[in-house]
Amino acid sequence: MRAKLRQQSGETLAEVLVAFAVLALFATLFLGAVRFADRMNLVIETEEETVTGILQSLYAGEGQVTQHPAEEYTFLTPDGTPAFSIQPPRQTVTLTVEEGGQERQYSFRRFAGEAEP
Amino acid sequence: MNKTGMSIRDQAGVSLAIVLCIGALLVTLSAVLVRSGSNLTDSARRTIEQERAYQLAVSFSDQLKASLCTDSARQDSLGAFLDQHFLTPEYGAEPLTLDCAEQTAEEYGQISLTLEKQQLPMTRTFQLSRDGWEPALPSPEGARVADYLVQVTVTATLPEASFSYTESYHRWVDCTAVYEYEGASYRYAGNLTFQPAEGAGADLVLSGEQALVCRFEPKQAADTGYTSVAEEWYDESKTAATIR
Repeated sequence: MRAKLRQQSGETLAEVLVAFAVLALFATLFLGAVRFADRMNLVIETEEETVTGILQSLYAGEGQVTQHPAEEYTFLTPDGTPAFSIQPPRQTVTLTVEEGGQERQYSFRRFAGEAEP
Repeated sequence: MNKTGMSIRDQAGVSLAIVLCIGALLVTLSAVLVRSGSNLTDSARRTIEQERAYQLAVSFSDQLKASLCTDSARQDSLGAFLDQHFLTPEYGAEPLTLDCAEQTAEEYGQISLTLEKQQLPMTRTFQLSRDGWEPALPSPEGARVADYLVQVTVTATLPEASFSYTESYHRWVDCTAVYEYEGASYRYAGNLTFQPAEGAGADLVLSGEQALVCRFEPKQAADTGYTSVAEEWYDESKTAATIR
């Protein structure tokens, strides 16, 4: 029995089989990563299209504009002394975009428009 | 045969080592693919947030421009602050950061300003040629001269993005023009004639090709005004020169 255990015949074959099994495992992992990256690529393309659409609509002035009352912005020097103040008009631009069959709203704020009295 | 058998036995474990190396390579590649995929997705999502910060910074800068170029006389305006504090010789040359006091509307981000200034030369050299002055001399009453270049940087900070936008302005001030010629000071009286700036003395009448150095001195309680440097390029009447 001891002699049989000491024998090294078939060891290379076993090693090759184990190597193949390990290689298959790594290959599966790699293929999974490739598939994930592929899916991500699709997601990115879709998101980029959505973002481009949103920005085009924003710059084309297609959003719904809501004017808000002006708020006073007072700026302070590093020692806390008031330097100056400004009351800019504020507005929100809301864009409605269809994403994956669902409507989603994106809001952008800016200091523009006619200040409400 | 025995020799071949020995050779195979000597290489025991080599194939597994090679496979492990290949495996490590594949794992690294997989990690890179997954990470770059996630990063790119985040980047696409961040674009919207960046645009929000951009809209806030640029529109706030536009409001400051409107205030500075049309309403700088108001006591608590940016123009008044620049004239009375930032652009005085006592202030020094270092940039100034102004933070906004507490804002109620968080969705409009945190707005902060950085002011920088550069004093412009207050002397010019005028060349008299056969065809007259090149460039034209300021009128005897004086001229409006840009004495400072001020850069106002607006930074809008949102939770996930921030954007800084810089607008440059010229500060204009009413000046009298004093001409230096052979160690004496003169004021222009028109028709190539210069009168002594102080005390009595003979008028100076120039002819031939000569150069005159002109020093601009702000008038007492002179009016100041601001213009956007970017807009000066679109307005031919204002030109890029710093004398009007």
